[in-house]
Amino acid sequence: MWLTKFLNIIGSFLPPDPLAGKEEALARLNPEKIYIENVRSVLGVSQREALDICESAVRQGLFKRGVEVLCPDGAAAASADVETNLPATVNCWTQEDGHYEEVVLPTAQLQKVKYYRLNEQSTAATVG
Amino acid sequence: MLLIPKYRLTFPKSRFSLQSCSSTYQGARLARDTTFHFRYNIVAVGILPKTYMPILRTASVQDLKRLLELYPVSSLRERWSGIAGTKDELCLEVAGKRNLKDIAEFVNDYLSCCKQHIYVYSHRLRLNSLPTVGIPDGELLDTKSEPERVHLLYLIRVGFKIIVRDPPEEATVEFLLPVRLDVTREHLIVRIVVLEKDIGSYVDGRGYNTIGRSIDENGILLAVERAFGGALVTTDLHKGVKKLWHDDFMDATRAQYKKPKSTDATIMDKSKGIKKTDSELYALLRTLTLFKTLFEVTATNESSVSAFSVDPGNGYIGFPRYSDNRGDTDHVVDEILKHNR
Repeated sequence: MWLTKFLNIIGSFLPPDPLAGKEEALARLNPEKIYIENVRSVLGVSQREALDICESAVRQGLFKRGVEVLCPDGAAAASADVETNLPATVNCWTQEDGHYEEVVLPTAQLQKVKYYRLNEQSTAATVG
Repeated sequence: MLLIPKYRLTFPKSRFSLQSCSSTYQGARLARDTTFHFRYNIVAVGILPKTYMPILRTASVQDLKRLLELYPVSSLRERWSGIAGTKDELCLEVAGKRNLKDIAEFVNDYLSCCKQHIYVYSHRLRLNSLPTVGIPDGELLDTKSEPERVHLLYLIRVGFKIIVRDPPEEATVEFLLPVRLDVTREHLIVRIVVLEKDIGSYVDGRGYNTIGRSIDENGILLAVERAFGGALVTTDLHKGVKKLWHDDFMDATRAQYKKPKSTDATIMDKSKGIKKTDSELYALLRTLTLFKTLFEVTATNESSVSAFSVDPGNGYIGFPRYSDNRGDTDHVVDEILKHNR
């Protein structure tokens, strides 16, 4: 199970006690998209510690890094493993005079958010 | 004496009945139908309105080009397949030839392919006793009667007053806006084509500020509502929309909805539908009042409509994208209304 491996990684950063009772909350994380804030809030640690945990999971092959570009309304318009692989432009929806309108916006001008996702190959190897 | 109406006409507010039109002008050459459009124009100039079209006759080449530019390039190429070039070049060439009959037919035939804002009303009037609808700066361009449906196509001259910068000067940019009223036994469907107004391109890229618009959608709707004299009630589309959603015709990617103590909104990430990816929220939304909600069509029915929005309590349906096939947007509206009973 990916969660067991992730708990082990967390355990190497934190004493075991803080994890007590948090397994369920961790299990509810969406393995396709894990934001640093998800990990930070569940574990009650600092943003820096959450980042270290996620980066450690990447080094151990459990997680992969990802980045998504957000439209002005907050919708994720596209995602990629690294920012340079995002499309140059994305389609977003805006409201003009109360009506939905589709606009094409340059990715460079939009907010990007980093996230992590489960490395399926790693999970398969663990399960196997 | 000939009574020639100006193209910026306001129709008389008195009600004409279609039936009376038919009987009164039985002797005239009413080739296609018997609506008030024919009555008005035949009385005025004694010729068929389709050949008259003052709003098109007085339109400049640029007016016609802007009108054509409201339509998708796929429609333009289908209609004028012999003309090559970009959309801009094609529109300019067609406008320059000034074949007004051709342009008028195209405007009507391909209206359903345009981006549109649609407002649905319920009424209890008889199709043969509809009132005259006069829209400020508008002209009734064409009418079409089917057994249970009447189509009235208007062109409205919409002016944007702008202040252009460097040096500052006031200017007006005008557009011809197609609006169609579809009247069925139960509903009046007002279809307003979305103005794709790139005003900056008409002032040589100079900066500008829009300071006024001669008529907006509310003005058009007000004129229609006044003409019907209180006989119109906004149609609540919740039932039809939720039925189609339940049937997987479409899935919502953005929704605003009323909860008991708040108004919430959900914005899904790209290609994620609420029903498909958040069954709990979908179950909740089935019971809630929806406000502006954007749907992507998921049914594999070969429809060229890929997305539409609704504001069900206000009888509103919006088509924010062009569609390739004629009648596909009509089909979506018909399906919503079919399941709305």
